[in-house]
Amino acid sequence: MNKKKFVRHSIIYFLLILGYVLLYVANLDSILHPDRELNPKSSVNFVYQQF
Amino acid sequence: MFRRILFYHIFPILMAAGAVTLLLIFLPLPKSTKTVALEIQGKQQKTKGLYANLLSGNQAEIDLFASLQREDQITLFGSSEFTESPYAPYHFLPDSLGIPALGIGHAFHQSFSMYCALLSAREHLHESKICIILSPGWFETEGTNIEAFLEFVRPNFLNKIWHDQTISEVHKEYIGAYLDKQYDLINSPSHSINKLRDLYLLHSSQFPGRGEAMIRKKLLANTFIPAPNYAVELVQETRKQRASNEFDYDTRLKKLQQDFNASVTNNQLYVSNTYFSEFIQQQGGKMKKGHVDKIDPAKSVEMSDLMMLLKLLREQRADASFVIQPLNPYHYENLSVNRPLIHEMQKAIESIGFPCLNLYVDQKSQYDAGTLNDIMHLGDYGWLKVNRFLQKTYHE
Repeated sequence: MNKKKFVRHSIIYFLLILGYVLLYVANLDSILHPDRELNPKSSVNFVYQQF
Repeated sequence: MFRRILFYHIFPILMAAGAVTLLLIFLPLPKSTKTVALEIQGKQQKTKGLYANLLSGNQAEIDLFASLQREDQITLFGSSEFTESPYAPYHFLPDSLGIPALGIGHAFHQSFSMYCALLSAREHLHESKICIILSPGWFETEGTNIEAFLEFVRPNFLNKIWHDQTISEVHKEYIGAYLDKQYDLINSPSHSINKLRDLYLLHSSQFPGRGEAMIRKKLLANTFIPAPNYAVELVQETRKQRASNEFDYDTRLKKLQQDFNASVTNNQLYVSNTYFSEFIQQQGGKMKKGHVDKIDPAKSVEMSDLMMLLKLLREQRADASFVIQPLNPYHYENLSVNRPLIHEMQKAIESIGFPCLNLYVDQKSQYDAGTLNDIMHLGDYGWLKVNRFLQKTYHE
């Protein structure tokens, strides 16, 4: 068994999991700037139709 | 082979997951320096008229809260039937009878956005005079769309709901479930949107939703959500109220119906000429026919939203009333398929003791011409019937 490979894999998985948590699960920007107020907007514009 | 996978992948993953967990537990997070309480002060400006939406800022929110607080004012919630007609209640009642009234709504404003706006004003709902104008067309949709939701349920309202400890988790989780469903359609979701969504995910969701919500709960614990408090100054009403017997409804109704019927010259559907030419008449003299989808009340999202709205109004003992609008049976051919839906709605409303004016009919012979201007929007004649109902409900 190669110890170096074991350590390298551990670091890669650590960074992958950390990236998943900070970028996908929680918004890193919200963590770093808890004071920031956001103005939510719809990404879809619904067009009113009679039918 | 198995030993290699175990040594080079499984163990490193477990170690990395453990290291990330420890990091998250002991990571010092930046804290907010802002004060949570947010005082929104202002004077009521509208005791009549319409807000098509609440995007114009704090004044629209102040006027809504003022309207709900006033003992003498009626607050109307509706959708595309809200126009500038002088017979719309938010014009007619103040102008002709001296009763303050405010309308809130435009197309797509449906039960869920009304429910959320009213939930944010929970403390003012007791005996507040509220009229909900229901449209059968809402029940053919998948409930309130996200654009209307964000127009009518302003960030201040969601912040207020989040901080209000007296609002039960049943209500907060119901909003969270909606936000979770619509989440991908929201740009820059606010902190209160995220927290309400996570509240739902923590209690109702399975892996991975629940796990992700737990991580966010830890990492976003310090995010700033202001707690709005509306300090509203009510204006004195200067109009003199007229008694119900001072206005001759029967004569005016008859006149409005005669005028409408005389104005319709290009069709026999009791639809205004311009609407008929623009939307119903097709090339070659043919006419578009209308069909409604059969709605199962038990599976309808809109029905579920309406039930939550009724639950809120009942819990807070609001002085609420409802109007069920008709669809034009001369245009729609199969309105009887939704008779059980309308029956269920009326039963739910009246079982709580809220007055309900049901104008829905499914046969041509039952239809009162002029009630609608077109195929689904109230006309002056229909509005005057609503005004008579409101005056009878609230001022007799």
